[in-house]
Amino acid sequence: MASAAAAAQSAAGAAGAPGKRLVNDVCVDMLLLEASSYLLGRRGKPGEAEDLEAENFRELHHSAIARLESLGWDVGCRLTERLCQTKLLSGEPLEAVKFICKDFWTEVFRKQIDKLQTDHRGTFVLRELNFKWLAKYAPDKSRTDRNLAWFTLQFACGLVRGAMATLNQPATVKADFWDEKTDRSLLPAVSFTIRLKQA
Amino acid sequence: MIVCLAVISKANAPLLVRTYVDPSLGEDQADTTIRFHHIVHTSLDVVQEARAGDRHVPACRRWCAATRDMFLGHLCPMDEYEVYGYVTSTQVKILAVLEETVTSRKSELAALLHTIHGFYVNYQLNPFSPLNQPIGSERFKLAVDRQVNGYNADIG
Amino acid sequence: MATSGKQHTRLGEQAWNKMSKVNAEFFALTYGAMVMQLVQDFEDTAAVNAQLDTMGYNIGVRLIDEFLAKSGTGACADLRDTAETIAKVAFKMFLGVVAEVANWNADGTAFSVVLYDNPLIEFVELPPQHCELLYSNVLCGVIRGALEMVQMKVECRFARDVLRGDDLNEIRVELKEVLAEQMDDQYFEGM
Repeated sequence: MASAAAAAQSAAGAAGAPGKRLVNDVCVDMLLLEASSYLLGRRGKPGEAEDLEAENFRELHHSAIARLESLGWDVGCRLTERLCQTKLLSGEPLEAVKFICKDFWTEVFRKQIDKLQTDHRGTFVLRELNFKWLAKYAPDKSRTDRNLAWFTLQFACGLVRGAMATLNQPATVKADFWDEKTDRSLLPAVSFTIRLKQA
Repeated sequence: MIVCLAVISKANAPLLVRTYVDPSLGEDQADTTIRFHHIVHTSLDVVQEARAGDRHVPACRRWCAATRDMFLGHLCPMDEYEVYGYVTSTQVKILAVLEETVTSRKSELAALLHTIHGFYVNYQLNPFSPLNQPIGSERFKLAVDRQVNGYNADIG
Repeated sequence: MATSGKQHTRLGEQAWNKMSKVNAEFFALTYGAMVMQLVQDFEDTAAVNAQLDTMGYNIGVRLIDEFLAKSGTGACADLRDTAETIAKVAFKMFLGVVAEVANWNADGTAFSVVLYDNPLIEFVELPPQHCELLYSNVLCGVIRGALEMVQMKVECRFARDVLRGDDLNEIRVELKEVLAEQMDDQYFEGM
């Protein structure tokens, strides 16, 4: 018994190329949902529904938002260390962003970013046309959905921010799915904006 | 023979400095540690040496691009030692301080540093490992020691 | 209807192959970050363990629908069938690993799910100050929550834990009560 467990542990943990082990992506969905619930302090208390559909959701829950983003940052840092273990990167910001769009995005979302744009002055816009994590939300129909979808998105922002930091390109990362002009949701499309912090 | 193995963060802070000096030589452990910290610190200047060009791209990166490898090879002599280096894509550096220059065992040394890189990654995958903090894990230290002692035992 | 051992394994494989998957290390890191968050929030390890169980429960009550909809299993004939389904079908379908059922008690009301390979803990090393932490306790909650939705009240706990020095991971499941129910037709959809 000891050798079976040890063998599984050491084989899986052996130094080498990024592992190929996979899990059902519903596990991630469920985990994020539960983590979000926990951070938002949802305990089925009265008044909770109003809380989540509030217009000033971002102010009300600024602490939970920061914590979820920071959770993402932590994961982004560690995962990046792993994913570029055998990948030689030049250190150019564009190469770091491309790594996120291709390698990183593939491991987390099983697809690459659909479109990357840059102004070559430190701003990058990543367009994801089918962001699965937000598939169940209907932001056009419900303010609560809009708030919760945006909340979930902060974890992804943290992932990207952590990845950039680990690749030595500290940046701010924002994301949204709301079109201000038409006042409508663009889901499942999401845009991420990465702005390099000028040293 | 490897006398010191250091892992340095991308902010050039030492995460781990292990020394492998024969205690029978009589040097105080504290003095040994200080001495090698100094060697490591000075060697980092070589790794980070500024050159004309894009400040976003440190010298060692261009070095890597040239050699197509994270293993940088020989960095510099330091006191009576020779320092060898390795830089990850995340700018974590692994330095090996040796008593002699390495010629026939170069690929072995490169493989050793590559293995230690792997240990570092595994260590980072532990959620209890604080990010960018000195490494306290006994498991990590033992794993590094085993690699270095294996290399050192293999002479001749 | 009862399903044979080989059928459980086959069902597990089939379900797994159909699922869309994601990098397991990403999942493990996300779980680990959440555990760390709880460790910071609760000073008491027992409270963290309880919170992990609760979160697992909340996940389990939802996960069961996913399982019933996509696993291809029908209603389980008895507790033995349930146990094998958990170990061979559910663990495979969600975590990509196969567990074993062991240590049945004399009256067949308690069993263990033995997990040699746990994707949550691949790179985890418990620091000494957290040696009482049941890092994977979420799994107990998931089993408990899922089974409650199919009218079984169970108690679920880690009897052995690799992170705490044991040879293997053993989750002990004890049936406490079969809940009186209005059985939905869907639970009788057999194969």
